[in-house]
Amino acid sequence: MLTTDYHKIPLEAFEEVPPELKTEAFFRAHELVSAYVGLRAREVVESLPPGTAVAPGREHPWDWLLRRARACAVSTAGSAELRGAILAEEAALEPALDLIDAAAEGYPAFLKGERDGGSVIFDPRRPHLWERYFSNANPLYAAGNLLAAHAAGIAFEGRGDGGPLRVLEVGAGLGSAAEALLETLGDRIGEYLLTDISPGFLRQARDRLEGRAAGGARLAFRLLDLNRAPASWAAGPGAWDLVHAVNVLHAVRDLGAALRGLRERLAPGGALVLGECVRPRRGEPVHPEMVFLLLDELREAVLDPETRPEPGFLDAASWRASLERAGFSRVRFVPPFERAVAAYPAHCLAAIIARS
Amino acid sequence: MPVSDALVLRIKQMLIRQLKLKVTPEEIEDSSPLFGEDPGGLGLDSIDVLEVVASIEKEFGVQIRTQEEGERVLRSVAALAEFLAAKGVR
Repeated sequence: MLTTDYHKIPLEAFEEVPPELKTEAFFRAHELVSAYVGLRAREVVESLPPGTAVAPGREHPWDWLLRRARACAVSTAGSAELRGAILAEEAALEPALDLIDAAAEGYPAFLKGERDGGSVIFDPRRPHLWERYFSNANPLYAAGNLLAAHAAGIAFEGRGDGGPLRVLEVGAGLGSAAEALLETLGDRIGEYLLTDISPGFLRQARDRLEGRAAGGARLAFRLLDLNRAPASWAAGPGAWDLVHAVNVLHAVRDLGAALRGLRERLAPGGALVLGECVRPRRGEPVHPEMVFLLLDELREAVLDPETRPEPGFLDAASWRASLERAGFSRVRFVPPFERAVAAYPAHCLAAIIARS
Repeated sequence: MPVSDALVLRIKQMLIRQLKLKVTPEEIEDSSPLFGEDPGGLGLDSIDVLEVVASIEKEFGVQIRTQEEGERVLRSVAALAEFLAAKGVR
């Protein structure tokens, strides 16, 4: 099912990337999950009677499903068969498939306005869906954590004896990005403040990470809502060498305001490091959207034609424009994004380093 | 079925254990809100709902079947205790 022959991918386009993220297995996992999303999208579309009225505010996810369904080239009998084939090849993808299945099952009621999106994917009948998905045992999710940690290492190469790094992480969730960062930079980190909007996630992150921090890192955990004014944030301005934000900023309502607030938090010489799913081309759907477009927060983003043309994930040009408009400079993608997409057209993973 | 002190304690211990709360059972008021940002409450959120509902089923053998039922019985420890007592849990 791999649409690109791995052996023809010019891997020198990915030379800055950790070796785990340029194996044939890695590319194949991405394509398998993307194909599964396409097939599930098609099944959702076909399950709705012609002329079904989509509830107000749900037009964007419906349009997304239609586009993905039309582009679906999978000819297998059904998603159950494809799911079995994928798991026979890579069992570790089960959390990703489970989340996609939960979304697909709930979409018909959501599109008709009979159910809210949050209840579809935060379903008590599946209490551990998120825990399993946002884990370094899920290779698709771990990739973003690993790449962002690697980019943080690049950002502080040659810093010399500048003293221990003071790290602020936003959207820390269950702590999987922190695990990766501590593995990469643990012996260089002094103070490490993990923050998140969810007290539930933060408690679980604390339970996992306390007592296990690498090197001399001193961990602290506080609530921080990026959708509120930066003056309310529990992290002082000008105090942080590294602001680490993995798979969070695409979900904030006002990206420009959040980025300005994060830049204000950097100490002189500091760096913001993002880990994000990035659209290969402007407007191109990416497979994680099938799940995340169910969330009100993602659909209610403040839009801008240059910096945020549509809700959710951004393309590379939009990220550059957003960061530069917020006052960041020397924006660098790891790997260089356009080169990576030229080498592998479905590429959609990047870390971004930006300086204050 | 009346609500026993033992049941209330079991509920509080379950919440502390499953949600990794850094409080003692004595620090959880029976009638304080479990969810939301009320300063006197536990400050649980939608992520915690998932764990609480699963833990109630595992610990007490009782299912919370609908969102409406959940919103009613998970308002406070006291509300949850009344619900479970009515289901025959001691």
